[in-house]
Amino acid sequence: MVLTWKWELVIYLWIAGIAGGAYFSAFMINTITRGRYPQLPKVATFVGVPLVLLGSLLLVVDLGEQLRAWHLFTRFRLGSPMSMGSWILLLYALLGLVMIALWWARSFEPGEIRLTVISGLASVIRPAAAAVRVLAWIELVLAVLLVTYTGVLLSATNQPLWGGILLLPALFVASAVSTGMALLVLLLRTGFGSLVDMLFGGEGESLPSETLHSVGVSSLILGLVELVVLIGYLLWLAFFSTAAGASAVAVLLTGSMSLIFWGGVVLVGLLIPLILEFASLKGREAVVGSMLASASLVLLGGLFLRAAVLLGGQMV
Amino acid sequence: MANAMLIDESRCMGCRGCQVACKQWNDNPAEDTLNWGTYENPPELSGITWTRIKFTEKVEDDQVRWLFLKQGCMHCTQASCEAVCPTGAVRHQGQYVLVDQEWCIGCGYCVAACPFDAIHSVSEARDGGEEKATAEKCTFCIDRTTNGLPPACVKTCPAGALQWGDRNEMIAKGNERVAGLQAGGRARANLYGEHELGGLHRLYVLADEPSAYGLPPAPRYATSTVGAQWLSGILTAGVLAAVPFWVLFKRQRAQESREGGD
Repeated sequence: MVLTWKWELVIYLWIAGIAGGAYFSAFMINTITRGRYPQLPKVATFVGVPLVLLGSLLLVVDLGEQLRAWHLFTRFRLGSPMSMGSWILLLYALLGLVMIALWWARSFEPGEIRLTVISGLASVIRPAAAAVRVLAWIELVLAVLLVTYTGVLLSATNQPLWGGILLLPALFVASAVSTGMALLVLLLRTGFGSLVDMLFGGEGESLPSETLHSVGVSSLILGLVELVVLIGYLLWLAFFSTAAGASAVAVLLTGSMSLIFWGGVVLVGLLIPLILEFASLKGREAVVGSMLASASLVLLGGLFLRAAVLLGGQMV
Repeated sequence: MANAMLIDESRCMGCRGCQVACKQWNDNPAEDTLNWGTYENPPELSGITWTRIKFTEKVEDDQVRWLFLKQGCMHCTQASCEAVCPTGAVRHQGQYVLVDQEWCIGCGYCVAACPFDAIHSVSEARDGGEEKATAEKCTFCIDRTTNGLPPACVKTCPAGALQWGDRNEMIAKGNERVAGLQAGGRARANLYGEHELGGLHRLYVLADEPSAYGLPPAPRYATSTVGAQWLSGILTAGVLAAVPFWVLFKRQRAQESREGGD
């Protein structure tokens, strides 16, 4: 039994999901509240773009012929999710870098002089800063495509655990948004978010407790949605797909992936965080410690989910 | 006019001469394997083993019957490997599905997409290394068949189980043989590959149902529902935008407009 895709791909699927999911969550909160939390998309982009770049590097490392990676960008093949994914990754990272530059340029007052060279550069790109509003929407579309592609990549194959299963992209999107939200919570609650906010000229104030409460409830609901989709995915495989699909589920539930599945995905990634989130919300006040703990566990759970699905899918 | 390989599994005797001929003609090294309790060897197709005989033991009326299946690339008309290849390195040339060895990046996507598990990265065995490289598989011995010779496996088969020629002719011969088998009491005999995936260029005369040999009864084109898969992910994102985000944060939107914004 030879694994074609190994840990590089596990990590990649995980961090690409986190990056896209974090931007999605941040954009949603900021846009729905009519721009009340402009620091959120900035934090998500500032952390997400390096994650996407690191993931792309892992993808190249996983290739059999690394030096030929550029061949990916000589074709645009709508039917090949990997081709589409390569372009999505490239555009997402490039656009993210442009947005970071524009946000940063906007943080300067027009007449302000800090370091001459840098402020000079900022003043050059500053006129374009208004475009960041439009770019943020395009980046949202790319983020949705990015997290969807990580699932479609696997479902457009013929492995029993992945092939043609429509709920697999749904599962990966749910997990991506859930882990992305968890990353945002970690960044905001450890002060890193404020740091990034100040870097872009903000005041670095933390979120009001009412907002944190909503964030906590969101995390809870995202976890529940992921749990429902996961159950649906397994039931679909067990009862509506081929005999091979049913034995693929057995690999997860009772086979060589069962420890990662039950311990990692279900317990660490879903049940414990859900209980923690539920308990901390009962008091109406978001409890810092349990929010940090559950966010960390959700992030870990995302890793276990990618490992169970990616490695388990190659073990049937 | 496309050629095809007709494989009469009712005539195959499991000598595995085709495996050896394939290795010799295509200059593929042997694999280091251990006896795992069967004459079947190596255990799987790989980047350096492009054809192999799969042995299946079937108990019928208290008698054990051996079913032999010559595995390898089917050169499908609707080739999943070609569909998913991100660089276009896997492509059709007439009836041949070939991997451009200078263009393949070794991503392994075709390996996961193939419904017959017939394409593999040259990883494991070459020179004992563990490096992953480009994808390789049966080429129908294109260097022979474009020069009027049959593929090496066909040439060597001592049982007369393999034939190479015009596809329509092979289908006619296959159907004839199936009819003969059915007349002889093999009620489940059938011809596999005439219609699967737009028509395979390996046609099998099977003495039993495809699943008894381990062949997928209805092989699936890997990207047949790819549009719906994209939609599934995008719709999920849409649902999440509504619940929890819109439902939970729209309250702050209302407050803000009452306060007149800041």
